[in-house]
Amino acid sequence: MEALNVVVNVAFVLEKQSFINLRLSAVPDSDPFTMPLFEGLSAGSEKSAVILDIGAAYSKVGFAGEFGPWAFVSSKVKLSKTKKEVFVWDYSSEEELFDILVEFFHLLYFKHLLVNPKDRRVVFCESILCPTQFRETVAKVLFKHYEVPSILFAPSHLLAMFTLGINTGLVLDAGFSETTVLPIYEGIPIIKGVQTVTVAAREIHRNLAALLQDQAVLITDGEEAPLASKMSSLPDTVIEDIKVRTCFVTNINRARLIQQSILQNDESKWPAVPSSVEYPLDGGSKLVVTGKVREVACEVLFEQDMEEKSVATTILDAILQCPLDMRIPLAQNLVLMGGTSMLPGFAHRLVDELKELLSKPQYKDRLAISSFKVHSPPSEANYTAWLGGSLFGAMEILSYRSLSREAYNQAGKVPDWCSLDDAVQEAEVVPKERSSMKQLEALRKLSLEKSSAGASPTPK
Amino acid sequence: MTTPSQRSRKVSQVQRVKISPGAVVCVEAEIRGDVTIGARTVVHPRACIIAEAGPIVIGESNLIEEQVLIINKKPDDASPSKDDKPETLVIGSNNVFEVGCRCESLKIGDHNVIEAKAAIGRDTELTRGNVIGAFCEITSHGALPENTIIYGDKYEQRRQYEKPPDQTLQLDFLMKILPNYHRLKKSTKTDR
Amino acid sequence: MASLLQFEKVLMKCSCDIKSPIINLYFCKHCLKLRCGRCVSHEVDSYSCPNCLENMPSAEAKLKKNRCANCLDCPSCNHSLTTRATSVALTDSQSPDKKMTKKVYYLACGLCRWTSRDIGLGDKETASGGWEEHDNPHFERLNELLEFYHQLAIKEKNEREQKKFNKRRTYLRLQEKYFSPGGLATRRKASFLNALSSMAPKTDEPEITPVKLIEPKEEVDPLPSKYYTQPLVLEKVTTLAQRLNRPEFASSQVEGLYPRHKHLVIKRSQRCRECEHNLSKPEYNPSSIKFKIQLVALHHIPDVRIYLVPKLYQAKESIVTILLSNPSQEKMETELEAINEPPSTGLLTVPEGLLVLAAKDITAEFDEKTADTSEFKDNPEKKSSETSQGHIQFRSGHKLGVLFKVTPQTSDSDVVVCFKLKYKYHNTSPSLRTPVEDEEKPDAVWLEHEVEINLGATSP
Repeated sequence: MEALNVVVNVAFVLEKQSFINLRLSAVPDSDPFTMPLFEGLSAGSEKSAVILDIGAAYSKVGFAGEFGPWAFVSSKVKLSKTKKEVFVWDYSSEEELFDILVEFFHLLYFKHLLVNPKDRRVVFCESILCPTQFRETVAKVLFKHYEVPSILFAPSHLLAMFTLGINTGLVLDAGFSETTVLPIYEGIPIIKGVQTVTVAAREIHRNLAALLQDQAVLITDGEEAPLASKMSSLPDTVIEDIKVRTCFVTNINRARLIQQSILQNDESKWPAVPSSVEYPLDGGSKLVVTGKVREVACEVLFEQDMEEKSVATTILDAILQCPLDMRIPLAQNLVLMGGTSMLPGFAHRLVDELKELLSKPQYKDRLAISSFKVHSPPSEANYTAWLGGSLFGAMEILSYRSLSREAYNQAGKVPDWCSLDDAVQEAEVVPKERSSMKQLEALRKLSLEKSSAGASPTPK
Repeated sequence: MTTPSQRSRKVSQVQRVKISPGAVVCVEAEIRGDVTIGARTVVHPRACIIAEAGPIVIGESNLIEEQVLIINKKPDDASPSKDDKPETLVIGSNNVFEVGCRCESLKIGDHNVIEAKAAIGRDTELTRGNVIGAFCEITSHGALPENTIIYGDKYEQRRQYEKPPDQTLQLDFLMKILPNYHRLKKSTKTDR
Repeated sequence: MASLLQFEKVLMKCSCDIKSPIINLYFCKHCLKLRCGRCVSHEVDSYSCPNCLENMPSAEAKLKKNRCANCLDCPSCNHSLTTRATSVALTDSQSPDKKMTKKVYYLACGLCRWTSRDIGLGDKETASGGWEEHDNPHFERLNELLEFYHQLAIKEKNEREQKKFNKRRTYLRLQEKYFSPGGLATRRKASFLNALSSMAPKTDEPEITPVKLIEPKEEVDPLPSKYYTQPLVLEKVTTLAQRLNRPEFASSQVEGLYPRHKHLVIKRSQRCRECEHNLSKPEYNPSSIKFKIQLVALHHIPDVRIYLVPKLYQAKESIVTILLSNPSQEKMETELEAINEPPSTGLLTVPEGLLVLAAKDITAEFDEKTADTSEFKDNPEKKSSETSQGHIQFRSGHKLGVLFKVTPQTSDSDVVVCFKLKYKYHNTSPSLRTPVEDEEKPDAVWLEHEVEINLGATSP
């Protein structure tokens, strides 16, 4: 026991020291003679950064240099004040979000990551469409409450490119609340080409719930009755479970037949229906999930809405927004990520839909693309962005790219990643980043912060 | 639990309990009605086996622990016209009924485990290698597929690749130890 | 009345202006301020496994990815797995008729009855197992990527260093030119620097071996036809929670579920943000629930409880008995001051003048006779002697029942009254008093905290 204590004390001292080093190295512009020395020291002992990806449904957390997140947790937290469990993204005011985030990060740091927030830099993977309010509050919570040394806000689409080692691609992120497409050319995001539809997992859940409510049969103690007559709604967790375990994205031919069958109200046109499943709700009742429901639930992804938009059209629309010479490289480098893209059959159907759309009048004369190619990142799609963050966070240059606590405290705000406002950036960093871009093309895609955006007013 | 016991306390029924040689049935166990207990089956004290609506046949090497209720129950809405033939509750062999569970199921196969405080309804059928987890109440109709396990407060289901292991050692131990501390019901003479 | 289960009735304001029940507060003896969970900084103190209660140093915990080396979790239901011993019959290859039994071990879950045999894991000959660990399926590729980015990062870092170096060199040259003409030492240094810098491009620019590109595929695997034709066995499909437990090995089939090492838990220590002293530090031993340091407010500041509330009527004065108790072993002088402004919903008149609380005598609780209250002369009969006497309901040991006059000004919501609790705090811990302080100032200070009491609803 004695010996153990000693070991721990030593470890504690070491921790303290590295913390001091870290602090010193973060002091901007100290004596040029001592600076490299301290940097050298801190680089050796600096602890790997924390990578956070706070999704609408699930959050991925872990450390830089790791090949998978250490924890994959539901993005909700039980507030100590109200004792209610709330989703992180369900906030009505900044104060409320602040409270939620304080408790949620506490959960992440002390239940899952088990490290001191003060000791580690943070890479925060965010959607490019992340609301400024959310980002500002995250920075406030992490810097002011948890006193993290630095944060890098990294757009998730760019991070996905990291996992592939490419710098041109069209990234589709199908998550929980929305599907977002971003073209990236030579490491530069084409902001003009961003396309988004609010069709993703949530919409599938809504559709599935409606289908079940409408059609499903509940067997209770041997008696069959329509679900609607017994329950007004199924819990979200059950809907999600049914989707994950039974639903799939059907192929395009069957989808067309099903569409016709529904439109013409002709049952006979329906292709051979997949098997139905008895889903036990509890010990006494079973829900019959028919093959039709299993097959049709995910169709919302590809049904065009009022504005004729679907998950597939976002890709083509994004390409259309890009200059002619970029279009073929983009189409040849599709990257799919996000949990929804893991649905069985998703990728195949998407490519088929794209091909079919190409022959449609709105694209036929405007796009000279004939084929699409899809990358497969070395990860499951639901943590691709996180993995990119992990690869980036493991690089020694993380400190140069991050917003340090000192800089934040001086400016009092987070520079927008597409903002041209230099004032809040560390003065030293900017010119160097540019020079490195000149010298090393491959490094371009690393410039996730403002430099990329600075150069990005889309070439026309 | 008291009402059916009072209703069926008839001498004639008590005598219909058939205990095969080799079975260990404690005197404190409450057994009423037409009940047959197979060889090497252990019935703990305070277990309750009540054949109310029809006979109960229990196979070999079953373990029936304390506070277990196995009942062939009259359906609540039993209309007299339907009452032509009493149904038999059949329990196979090598089943384990853990403390405090309740079993009304008419058909239980072999190698099943009903964990503590679990309950099975009359129309549920256990086939083989089923496990009903602690505190799970299963009333759905029809047979459970073989090796199905139901557990947890959300009634999660999974399929095991093999049946749960036999309780041979435990049965041997009980058959040795129970007679030291409890009086046993005498086994019925072999069929005449 | 405001006791164990109703602690939210009496709230105190801490240094971050959040109101919390006294049991949730800390008292920093160094800054003499109240701190709540939000205004202290939390730190990871020690790691342990919740199952085997084994301690783990922080470095090792990180290495093991916050997981216990010995304990495993069920991949199906997250329950702890137990090791089961069984014997198998072996047939000797030399003499087939001779039967041997061998003891082997496998893992089993007590809740869902999952066993390591389910997924075809072979039995082990040792109880500790040595169960195979799985590497990320993309391990090699990810290492390549990591190496590639590492090279890029080094390059960029060197460029930065180079720049600093160049700056420094020019500075030295200037120095040489103007301040130390012909100095041998400086010249040598300069030439040394020159040599280094001319070397630099060679050493600093190692060839970056580009990571090999994995070509995107034009053909995407279609959905296997079994989805349309074969019946779905629900029990064989994993749930989302099971998949997310091990995101890197997410398997849609239960055969792919492998046991996971148990996640560690931590003990937290809490530190005052201002003076960085520990407010709470647990004992190192995982099975101990004691603390080395625990500065809870309850041990330092007077506790306020509701003793008796009569029926309250709107706009009618009622007398409420409030119990003050002294936690310290010295006499404590207190003073109250009503705050009649929102959120207060009742007009409050508190006793004026000093209220003296007797020292807490632990033995008094066992022997009532020892409590001698005569010295305080606050017997209600002798109203004339001092000002506050009429407000004192009773005194028993270190507790004092005080009468508050409350006039509720609301009829629909709860009656809330606020007041300032001022008290003379004696710093009792000797270690904190340096001799100098002892001489210069008295070791007792007047402190004040805001208290909010919820007296419940008014009667109609």
